[in-house]
Amino acid sequence: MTITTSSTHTRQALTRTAAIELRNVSKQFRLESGELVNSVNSVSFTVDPGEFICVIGPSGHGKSTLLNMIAGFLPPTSGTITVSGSPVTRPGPDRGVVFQRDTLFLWKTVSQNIEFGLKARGVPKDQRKTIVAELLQTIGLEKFANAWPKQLSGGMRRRVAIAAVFANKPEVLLMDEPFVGIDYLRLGQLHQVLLDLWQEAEKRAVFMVTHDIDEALTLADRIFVIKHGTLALDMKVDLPRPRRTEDITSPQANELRRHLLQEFSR
Amino acid sequence: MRIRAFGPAVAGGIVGVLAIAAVWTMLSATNTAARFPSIPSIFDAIVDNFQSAPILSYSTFGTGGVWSNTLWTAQNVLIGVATGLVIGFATGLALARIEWFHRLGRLPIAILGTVPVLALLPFLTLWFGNSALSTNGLVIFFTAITVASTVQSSAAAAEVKYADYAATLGLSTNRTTGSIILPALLPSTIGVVRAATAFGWGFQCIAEVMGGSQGAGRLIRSFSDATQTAGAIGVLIVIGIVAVLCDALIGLAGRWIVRWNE
Amino acid sequence: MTATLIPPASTTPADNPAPPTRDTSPLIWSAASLVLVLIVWHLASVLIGEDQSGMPLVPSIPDVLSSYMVFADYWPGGWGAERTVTGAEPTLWGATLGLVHNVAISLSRFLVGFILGTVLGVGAGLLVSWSPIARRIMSFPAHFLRMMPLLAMLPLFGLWFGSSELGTYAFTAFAVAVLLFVLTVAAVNNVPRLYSDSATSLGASRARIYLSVIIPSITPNLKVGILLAVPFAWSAVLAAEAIGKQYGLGRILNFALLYAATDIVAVTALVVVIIAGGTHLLLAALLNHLTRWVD
Repeated sequence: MTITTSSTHTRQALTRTAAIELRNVSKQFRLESGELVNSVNSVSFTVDPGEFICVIGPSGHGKSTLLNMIAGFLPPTSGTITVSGSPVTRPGPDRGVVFQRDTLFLWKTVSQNIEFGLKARGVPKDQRKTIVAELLQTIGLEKFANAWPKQLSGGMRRRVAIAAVFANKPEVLLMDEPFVGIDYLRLGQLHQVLLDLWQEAEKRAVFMVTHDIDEALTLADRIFVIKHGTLALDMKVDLPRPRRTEDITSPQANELRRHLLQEFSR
Repeated sequence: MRIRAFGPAVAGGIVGVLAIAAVWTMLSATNTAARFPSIPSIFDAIVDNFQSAPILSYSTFGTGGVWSNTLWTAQNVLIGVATGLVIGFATGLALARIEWFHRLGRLPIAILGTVPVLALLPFLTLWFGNSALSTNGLVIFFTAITVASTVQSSAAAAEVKYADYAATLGLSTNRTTGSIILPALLPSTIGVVRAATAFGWGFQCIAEVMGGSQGAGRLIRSFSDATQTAGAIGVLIVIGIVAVLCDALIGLAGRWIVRWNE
Repeated sequence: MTATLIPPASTTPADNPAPPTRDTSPLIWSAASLVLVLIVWHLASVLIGEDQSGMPLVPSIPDVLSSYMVFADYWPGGWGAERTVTGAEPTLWGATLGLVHNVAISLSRFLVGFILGTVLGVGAGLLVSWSPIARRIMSFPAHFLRMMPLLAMLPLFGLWFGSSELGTYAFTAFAVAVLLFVLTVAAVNNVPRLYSDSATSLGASRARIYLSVIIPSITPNLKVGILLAVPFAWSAVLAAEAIGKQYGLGRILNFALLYAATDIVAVTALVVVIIAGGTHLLLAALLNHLTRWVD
């Protein structure tokens, strides 16, 4: 497992197609009063395949809008967004999204929820069964393969929702505050599950919006800070993986945390 | 734990029925049999007329008794609800998922929702004479309207909840409608079917009162015209019992169908 | 359908942009839909033929409009238009008087019965819901009563009240009251315990909680039920008028039916739909204003 440094990063950027690339992307909204609001202001960045990005920043500053544009739910007012070389026009399975709200189908079992995307794309039954079995094992819910979502706790449902998205092997994974409201004990479990899934999926690019600095330090290779719709900070997280408590409370980690907090209070 | 939860409810129900019976007995003791017949006389009326009700052969040329007429009414209500359900479900789904249908159909169907159901009866009688359709047409209409309205709003809610996720899976609109919106509609549809059936008994019976040749409503009319109040009340009670049983069955079936619901 | 007591903090457009709405220029489409209805009606009147007695099954639009004159037959006389029953010619003025007269009669029956029924039903429901014991006692009888064919009790009310106005009021009020009683009790039952618990923790007495927390929180459910009861009450009025009354829209409908006059039935039904729809609209506006705080 290599940790990308600045020089390898640049080399990889030149040789491989970026997983996500934004160039001067802006988004304006017209309010009911007729006023124009600049939600995102000329943001540019590149995310490589295999990078885990956490996006952090104050509420209402454009993080979710950015994510929704990459997902294809909103068109940018100006600028271009490409994912794996193709421009983004509408949502699709190449950009898997884990939503903040619960989108599990209550009338389907856990297994049926996970395989739903595969079934929709015509993947044959035995292949689906294998994929689902592997995912269930990774998320630790083999015993709940035939349970209804209503029989599961909130944290377990999150695991199923994430597995359902990973099942489709998306090029990039977009997550909008997926772990809000999960208690602290379960959070560690869920982080581990996410990282395991990420590992097994050959570490596809992840673009995750979060409020939680600790979560960002645990998961991310790079942290973006979005303030007032602009990319205020693009910070590499050079902590070794797997990141245990010691690693995210080390002096190096605290230095990164201090940097982030400073950025917020500016 | 379930028995403990049932206990007070059942006890309360029994007390309630006894209380009503007590009030009724008081009323019947202080009034004529024509206005408030005693409870025993109501029972007698039901039993005497169960297989065949002589009153019918005097006033109409119909046959049958309380039981056969109740069955007739019941089957019309259930067929009417089933028909209305199919029409209403298709309409509601089309309103929610097909853009031009929504634009053109929204207002007429909203207006239909404010029409007093009984206003339809003259048309049904003129068009369909004395056939069953002229009586259960009211049930069909009411069920179709309420199901369509519920299905439309539930489909819209399901769209808000699931449409984005479905888009990220690359699903077509039709696929989304079939595999996602449709199952999501089941809980609210079952609820509205139950409610429509409850109203349906009333609409079916009043249609029979006003012009039917058969059915519980006709029987009620015949008893009332001959001032046999006990008989009229008896039929109402029998219909009530059948209605409560049907409602319980629909409830049970519904709970099983959506057993995955939270 | 839960109601929130405190409206949620609004999200800025940057955080949660709503998906684009589907309704563009709804006024044009609404007008187009009504035009479409007229076209379909016209086609039906042309394509669908007559019944055995030569009466067209679907009356044409001009026939229906000219049937307006039938209202002159239901004007008891005076104000410049004499009773047509005694031989006077039906005039447009007479028809208008007749229309207004019968609409007013039916409307008054509706209003008295509906308001009485709403007050009784909701009031009784709130009273019974106050005490858990009362609620348990009344639940099954109320459920049974609601499952009985309420409208089919019309003959009974005829036995009890004869053909009096009181009978019509009582019948309509009864039907509305039973419906709203059951609905109110269910609504109070479904109020999340969270509301009363949080009010208690703020120091409110049981009565205050009931008045200022529980009752406001059921108003959205009540709104739905009350609006559902509007056409139901109208059906009750029409039924009562058809059987026992001399004037009123229900009576006109019934007589038109007896003479198998589809055009008269149509024009009367049209008036009914307009008036009933009007009451529904007004009441919906009023109730929406009262529940404008709902999520």
